[in-house]
Amino acid sequence: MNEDRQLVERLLAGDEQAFAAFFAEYFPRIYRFALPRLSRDEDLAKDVVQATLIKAMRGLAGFRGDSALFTWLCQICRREIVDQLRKLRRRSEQVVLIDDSPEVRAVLESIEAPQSTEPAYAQNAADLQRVVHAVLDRLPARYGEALELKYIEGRSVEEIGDRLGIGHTAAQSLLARARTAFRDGMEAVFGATAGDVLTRFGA
Amino acid sequence: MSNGRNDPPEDEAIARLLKGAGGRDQPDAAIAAQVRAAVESEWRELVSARRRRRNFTFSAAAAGVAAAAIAVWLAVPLLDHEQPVVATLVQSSGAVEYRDGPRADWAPLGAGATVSSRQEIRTSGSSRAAFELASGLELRIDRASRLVFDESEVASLEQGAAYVDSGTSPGALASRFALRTAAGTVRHVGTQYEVRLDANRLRVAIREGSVRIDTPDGAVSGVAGEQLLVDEGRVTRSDLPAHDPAWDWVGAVAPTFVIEGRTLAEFLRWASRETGRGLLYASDEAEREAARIVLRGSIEGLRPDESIAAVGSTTGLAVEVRAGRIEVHFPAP
Repeated sequence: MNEDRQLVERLLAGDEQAFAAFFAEYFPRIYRFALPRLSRDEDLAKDVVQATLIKAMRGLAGFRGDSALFTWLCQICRREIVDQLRKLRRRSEQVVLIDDSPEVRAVLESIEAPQSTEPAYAQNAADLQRVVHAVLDRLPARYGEALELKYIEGRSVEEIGDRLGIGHTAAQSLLARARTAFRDGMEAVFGATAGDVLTRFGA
Repeated sequence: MSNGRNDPPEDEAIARLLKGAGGRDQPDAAIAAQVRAAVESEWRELVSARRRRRNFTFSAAAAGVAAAAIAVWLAVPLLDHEQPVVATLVQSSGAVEYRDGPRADWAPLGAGATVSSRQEIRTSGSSRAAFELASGLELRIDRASRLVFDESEVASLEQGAAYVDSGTSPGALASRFALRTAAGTVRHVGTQYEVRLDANRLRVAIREGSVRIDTPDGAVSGVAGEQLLVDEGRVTRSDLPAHDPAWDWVGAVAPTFVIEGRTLAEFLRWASRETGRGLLYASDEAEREAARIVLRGSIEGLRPDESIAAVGSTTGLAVEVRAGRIEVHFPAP
């Protein structure tokens, strides 16, 4: 049984820690998924994410683990976004993002078992930022957190270990795995190494 | 995709990519707390429901192999301690909150969330809510209102206004729902009515059917088109047509009618009830035609009165609102 399915089983069994872990891991990611698709309207994003997670709770027993839990939540969230925009008669304002394109979406959804070698699709620095964040959100939560602490906040391995509640060696190991997973994700999306992506965007 | 390499230039590139993209958006803590409360409430309900089902299944199986008394003895301790679910929030506008008792903290109530008996609900000065009870009966709560679900068929209005619609389903029509207030208890007989509290005065407006109000000074009845003001035992009656603007708030929080696949006739019956307007077909042929027309699409986000025009314009029939009626006829050639 995969980790997602195990988490769902624990949720269904009423495990309080499982709920805390589920919310801590998936709420920020789904919120980030919804926010740019709703023109960064925070109130609307809150309503959509709340409705998404409530519907997810109701349908939890039907989750079989055929796709990643995050992918499943994103599917529910997409429907909620369409419903909300329709309700507000804002269809014409619907935001289409780089990671909504069928190609990028397919690759992002396959990141946990990367196999695509199709290159794509980003056109500018904003697209690149979207893809970087989308890849981070599709990695295990601690991977994304460790990478941000290291490369964006400039924390030392010791500080990362302290923040994540793990020892120095474990933090080093986590960072190494996180780097590899992020690199694989970026390569899956762009069909090029991180260095080549940087060159392409002049970053 | 990974090739196991760990060359410094590639790591440097990863660092630059991440730095260039910056940190991901973090949701505001207040938003997170609100969403968590709503989702957690739903999760707890899910877990409770599963436990109840499991206990029921277990009890049923046990009954097959053991004495009924033993099965009951096993099941009862597992089934207690949880208040039964009495209502579901089916529609809301703005923030709706609930709490488990007078000393508990208020928490947000999200769409689709269930409410158990003894839980208290409140709306703000800008929010409204519509609940569906287990019987199918609808209970809508106006702005700045507070209400406690005492039992499955009894609620107490402590402040503001509530609207009750027994609908047309057999369960709701058979419901013995009672709405308590400090000034009296209102019971319905297949009806739509509003109960509004203004200080200690009780105003009951009846849109359809009839109601009985039990006050400390005795019982009084009211019928459709009337409103009764109960003030310190004195009852004053006045007229209030079913389509009076005083009912408008009720339509603003009406649960959406799903028109996809439904007939125009079904939609018009719903719109007629929701707007308090009579439904008049100009001819039998127009009525038959309305029953034949199958609708497609959605009226989500539209008030019932707005949806009449929107839906009417998509059919071959002319649907017009005139005074207190919705009139349906074939358009003039």
